[in-house]
Amino acid sequence: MTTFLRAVDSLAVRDGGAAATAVKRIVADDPYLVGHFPGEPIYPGVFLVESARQAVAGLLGGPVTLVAVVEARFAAPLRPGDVALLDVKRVPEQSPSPGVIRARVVALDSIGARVGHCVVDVRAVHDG
Amino acid sequence: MDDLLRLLPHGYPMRLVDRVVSVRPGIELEAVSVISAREPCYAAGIGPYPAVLLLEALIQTAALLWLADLEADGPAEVLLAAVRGARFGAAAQPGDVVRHQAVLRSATARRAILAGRTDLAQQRGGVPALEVREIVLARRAT
Repeated sequence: MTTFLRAVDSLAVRDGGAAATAVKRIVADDPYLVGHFPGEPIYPGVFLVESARQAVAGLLGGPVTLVAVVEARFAAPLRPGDVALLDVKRVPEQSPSPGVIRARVVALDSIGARVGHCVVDVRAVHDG
Repeated sequence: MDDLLRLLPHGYPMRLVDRVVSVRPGIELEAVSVISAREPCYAAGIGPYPAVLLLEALIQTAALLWLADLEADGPAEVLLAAVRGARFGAAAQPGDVVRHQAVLRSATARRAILAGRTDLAQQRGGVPALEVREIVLARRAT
């Protein structure tokens, strides 16, 4: 399964597989940024949701498809050169439906200020 | 009506709405996107259209409805503040024409809450591809 955007650069699973920390460095070469916005690149909010999806895939150890965005909030824009640190946790106490996994992702910038968070529902993809 | 598209601050290739079909200012707006295999997301291979780009196209439709109502005279700086209750359905594929509908729920000069849905074209059964309960947009303080 190919992805159109390198929305996570590195990821480390922790807490016995219950959580992970992912890193995404925003670069001006990220696809679509030249148009968002012309002359003033900002990492789109929906791309932070894509970072969250890829981070959840890393936590679960395989590709996942986005079923729902329960909630996503964006507090501050991310620009080329900025680093987003994503803290990913499964929310096992809320199981939306069979086969669907809910996760909560909090994104901080390099000085620890919250830039956004989201709660997403994903489903594992079985290739082939 | 396509004059409305100039209100979007997005440039190529991030302008994901291709045509405004109808607008009732302050109430609802319908627009279409043509999913093209030539989009940058397909640089590495063809497949289902990325869910977050479909969401972005619907958000741009919502932004158009708000900006049309504000009677902005040029591109306005609008940022996405929040999304709540987005559910994805059928995946769009290259060649599909998808239809977006945005409905204004409430708005002030600085902030608006909209709902929206995206459906595949009739030839593909008109089935829902995405429904969103709340899209929250904010104009940047200048």
